[in-house]
Amino acid sequence: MQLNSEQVELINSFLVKNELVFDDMRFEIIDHIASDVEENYSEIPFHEAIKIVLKKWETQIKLSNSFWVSSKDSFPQIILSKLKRLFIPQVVLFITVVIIGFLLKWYVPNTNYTYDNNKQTIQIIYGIWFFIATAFALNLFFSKGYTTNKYAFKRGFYFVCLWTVVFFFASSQSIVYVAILSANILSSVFLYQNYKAHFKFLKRI
Amino acid sequence: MKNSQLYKGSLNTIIMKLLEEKGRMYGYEITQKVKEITKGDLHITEGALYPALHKLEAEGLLEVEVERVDNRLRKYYKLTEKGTTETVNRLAELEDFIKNMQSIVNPKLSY
Repeated sequence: MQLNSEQVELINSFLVKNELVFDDMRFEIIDHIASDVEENYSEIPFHEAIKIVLKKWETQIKLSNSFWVSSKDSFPQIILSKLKRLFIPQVVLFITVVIIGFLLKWYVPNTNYTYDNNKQTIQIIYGIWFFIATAFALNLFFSKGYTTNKYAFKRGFYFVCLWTVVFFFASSQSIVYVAILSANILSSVFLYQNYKAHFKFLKRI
Repeated sequence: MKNSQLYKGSLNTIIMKLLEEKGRMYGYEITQKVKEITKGDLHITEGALYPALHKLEAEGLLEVEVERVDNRLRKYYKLTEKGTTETVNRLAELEDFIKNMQSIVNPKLSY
């Protein structure tokens, strides 16, 4: 029994209702569920077959939380495991660079270095970088499709924006702030990886 | 996955070995193939399969092709060049592991 478009759409709606909103993961889960129904439960009505198959996905579809993604039960387990893999490197990088900044400030002699020493140079470099990052972000935000990589890019970019605002409005601008800006710039690697993966997926479909 | 502690470390190698043989496969097909080969003894759960596939893809060992099949999109996975080389290494590693386990568990049969 081959599922018709309406039945496939029913599976799709169920997944979207359960926050499986990312196209890159939803498409293959729809295919998995539909293949299971077609191959193993063709003798029974669709509405009964789908209940049996969805039961197998219960633990993966159940909304869960993760320290790295969200404290609320916001995404199914299967999505959280992918998002975690995308977020952790960026967060670890950020924390490491900031810790290095603090260590330099506290333990290295001549720690009277302040951002003011090279204010203009740092502002120009960071400004150019932020302008380029924003251009990439806008291109991604207005692109079609919603993938885990698009979400990861958004989260990463909002994080960068937050620290940019803190940086420009902070009164004391020590080496720690320079470390934060460096961490932001270094996070380009992850932002670009997500950017590339999102458009690669769109190109495939 | 049955006996998850024993099989877990070999999941990626199992996937890569299947892809080496079949060329390209989609998620559901992989679970069924494993079930068929092991006569139902080994069942790869959805929760183990997809994170493993996504990780291998992120590492550049697998690449993806998307095709419309019937009324839906199907994501096929296949080994990249790097993935093909890595499969050989991982299979050799797994064979060594099996040999060593054999020596420990059943010394008489080992060679």
